[in-house]
Amino acid sequence: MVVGEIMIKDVSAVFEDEKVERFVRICSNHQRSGMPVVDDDMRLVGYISENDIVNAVMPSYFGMLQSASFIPDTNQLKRKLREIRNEPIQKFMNQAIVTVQENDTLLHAADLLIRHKFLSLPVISSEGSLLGIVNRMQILSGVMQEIRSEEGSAQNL
Amino acid sequence: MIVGTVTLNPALDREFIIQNFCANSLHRIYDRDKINMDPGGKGINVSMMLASLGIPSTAMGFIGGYIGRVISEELRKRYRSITVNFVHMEEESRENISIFDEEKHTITEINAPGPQVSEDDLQHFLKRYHSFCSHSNLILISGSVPLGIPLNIYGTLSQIAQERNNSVFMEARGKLLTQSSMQACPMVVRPDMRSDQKILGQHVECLDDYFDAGKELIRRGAQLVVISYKTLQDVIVTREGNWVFSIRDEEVDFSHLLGTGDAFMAGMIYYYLKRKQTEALDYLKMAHFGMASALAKTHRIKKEMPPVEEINQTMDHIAIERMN
Repeated sequence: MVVGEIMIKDVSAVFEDEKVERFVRICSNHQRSGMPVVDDDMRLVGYISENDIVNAVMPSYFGMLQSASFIPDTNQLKRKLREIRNEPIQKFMNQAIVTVQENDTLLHAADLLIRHKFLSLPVISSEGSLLGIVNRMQILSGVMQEIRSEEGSAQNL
Repeated sequence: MIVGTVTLNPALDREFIIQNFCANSLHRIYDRDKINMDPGGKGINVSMMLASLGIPSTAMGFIGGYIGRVISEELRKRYRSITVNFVHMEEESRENISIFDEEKHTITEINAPGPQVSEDDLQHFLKRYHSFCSHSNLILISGSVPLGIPLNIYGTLSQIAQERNNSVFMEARGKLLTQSSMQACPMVVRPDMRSDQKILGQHVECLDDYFDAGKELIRRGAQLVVISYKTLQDVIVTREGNWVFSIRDEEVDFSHLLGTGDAFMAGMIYYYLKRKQTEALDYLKMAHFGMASALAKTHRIKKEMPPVEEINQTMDHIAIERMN
């Protein structure tokens, strides 16, 4: 099975000059945790996830704390978010994007997802245009489908 | 060839088949097959019909809330060849209810209003539409417009697409058509007259009124105008003249008419994409294939595209008459 057979053909994306506030709104309306970032020609230039924004608004020592109850002041989060809400997405997105193409195998996509600890990967054409996304559950259900069809044909033998 | 369809006001279509439907009584449905739920809205309908003919397309527009998510998910799950590119909003997308009665041969339709689109969301959409058109070849714009969107939207969309060398197919009504045909007249126009008997603000009654309306659209830049005339006939106007297409040797079931307009558009787009690209486009033949698609669609009750073989067989059931 290849990526093209299971990918989600949804090319909703954000543009690099769109603002952080817009990204947060789009993600919450789409119920997504991240979005591909494209240029005016729909070519993929990055990926932005909720993590990128969370990291930007959390105090830098946050990662070292055992529990969130140690945050001295929650207003800090509000203040930081207010500071960056009108900043372009470009500033926070991940430019070192890992992508797959339609004819890549599921195994290859799964390997990338696990190795880089991503939840989803953008699928691009050979020209670099965004074609869709593939996520962990999509791969799992794709493999499951394959298992079921193998079992089916084994029974027929 | 890359095809995009625009549905500014998508809907979740809910169909009920109820024999002897009448108001003021309880109709209980026992058979699951008599209930149907489909993504809808005229552009989306065309995308689904193209998909069943093997033509991939990208569906664009605004969807909202829970119903909006169902529309988008169903669309992409059912048709692997459809790519979705919607702007998601908070307010709910609309629901359309149709009740078919094969006993009394009637269709009863209830259409809910769509969500309000903010200026912000509109700009968001236009930006994405812009980008899409720069690498696409054909844009279909069809259907109603939700609240909050200015009436010149279809003119703007047509202009953006044409400036980027797209062929534009449009089905629209009222002021949407009047305005867009002035700003950037699409190549193929099908005035939608489901709600009134007017084209470009003029009441149309006799055949000559239809020809006049068609000629005016041609003058504004259209290459082909298709107007439904008395349900079973179509008026066709091109630069070369006026024609009337009529159905012969066939009875049409009036409870099967839903979706015929969309089948007409999908058929024409199929013809446009599949013709020999080296030859000049034969607009009359494109309209003929479109009408055959619409007629073959009436062989089934659901909004499904008939297969190409059936459309080709139906071509002979249309009589073509040239008028002056």
